[in-house]
Amino acid sequence: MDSYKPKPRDEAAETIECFIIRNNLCPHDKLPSQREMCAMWSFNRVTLCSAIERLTQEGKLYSRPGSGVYVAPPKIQRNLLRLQSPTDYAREEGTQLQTKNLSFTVMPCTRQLSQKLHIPLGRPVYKLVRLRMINQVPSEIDTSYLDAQKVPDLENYNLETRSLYEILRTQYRFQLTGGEENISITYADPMEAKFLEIPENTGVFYLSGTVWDEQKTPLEYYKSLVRSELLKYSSTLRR
Amino acid sequence: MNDHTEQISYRSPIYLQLREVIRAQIEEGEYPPGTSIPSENELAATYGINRLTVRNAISTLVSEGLLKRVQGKGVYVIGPKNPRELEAVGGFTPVTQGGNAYETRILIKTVRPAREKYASIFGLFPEEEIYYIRRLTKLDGEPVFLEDAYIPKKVLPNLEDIDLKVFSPYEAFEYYGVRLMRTYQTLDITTLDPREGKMLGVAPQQSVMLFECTSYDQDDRAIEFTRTYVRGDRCSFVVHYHE
Repeated sequence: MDSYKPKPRDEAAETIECFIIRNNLCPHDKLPSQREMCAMWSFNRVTLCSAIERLTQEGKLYSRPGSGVYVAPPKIQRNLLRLQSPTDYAREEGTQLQTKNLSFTVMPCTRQLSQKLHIPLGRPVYKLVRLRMINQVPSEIDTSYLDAQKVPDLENYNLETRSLYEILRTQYRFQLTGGEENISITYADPMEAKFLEIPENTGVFYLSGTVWDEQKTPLEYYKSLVRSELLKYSSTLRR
Repeated sequence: MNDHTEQISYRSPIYLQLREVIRAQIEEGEYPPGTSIPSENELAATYGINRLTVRNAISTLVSEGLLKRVQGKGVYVIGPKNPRELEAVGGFTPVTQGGNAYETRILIKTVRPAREKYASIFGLFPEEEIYYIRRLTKLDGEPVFLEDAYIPKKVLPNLEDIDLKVFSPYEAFEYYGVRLMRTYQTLDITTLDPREGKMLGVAPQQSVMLFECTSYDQDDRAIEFTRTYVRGDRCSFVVHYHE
């Protein structure tokens, strides 16, 4: 085993987290002042500031200017084990979801979409782009691609007030039985950044995936850009 | 498994006698799973036999599946493996582009008190000890994962003797009868400190994925917590789900 001395900032950050646990602090509880914390643990001011910055970046603390540092509420954890739409998440998380249609177009199926939707090149595909807001704050941009022949007249439904999956199930009688989702990071381009109200080139979750029916026929291919400040994704692996 | 009913006596070929000596030492725990046995030279000197004989004895135990030779490092004891192939359901699976040459380097391997943060994850007292292991994984020579792993010392008391370049912690768990039954994983986005950023080869303030994983054993005890920083340009995660 090596003898290992942690870096002062890492040790300070962990000390603050331990303090929070030891004193059973809750979200929105205030931490002692920086001067008090430096005195309690013999850290210098620079190290402590650095630690607070790190924990703020990790979403564990937040600052109120002139007031001090507070324990942040934990991020919403979105479980990815079941097929869920933003409507379902909002209901579970107890938040207000607003949806705004950014565009609804028909396009010819491209080679990439052909592989995802299992339909030939050139077939008409509905492309639906929607902005989601949670409690009035923009949180994600969802783009859905569907085989137009499978969902004729989709444009007649109000996709701002209704969930696409709910429409697919009840109006078109599709069984949505499963899917596959790929998650990585991307950087919002100028237009995406504008809609999401974040600085250009901010890292966001990039989710793309396919939803299929009981015959494994793809029903939807989607791409979503999701801000990470308020949420993270979770999953459980069982044997 | 070989039948050892053949009587090994002082008249038996020397390599077979040595084979039984080493076998007994493994069975009695003198060389626990995951650790290395003495070198060929050491064994030759200890028993007053030549190296070729030692090598033959070791070869028979390698073909029996008790030992494994690692180029440039020595000969290691393999632990009992669960023969049943366990099917994993759910969870995030990492997916990388191209390449198959993974190379993992251990940067830190140490023991430390849990303190409240890790004590609360593992259900320990703050003064109980945990292992802390930091590993950097490269794919085709380019860094892709930086992993910090924490394991309570009482879960794997032998971990300090196990060479983690030869065996993964998961193999170590298996050998010591600890079965991973469930893992809870979260995926988030964060930025790295300059030092860690440099290790992973990312620009300062560039976003990376943060993958955290808590593993539970058959008694629902948390036995490992890992925090892995993942380069988004070299790796993504896939989840399969169904209703």
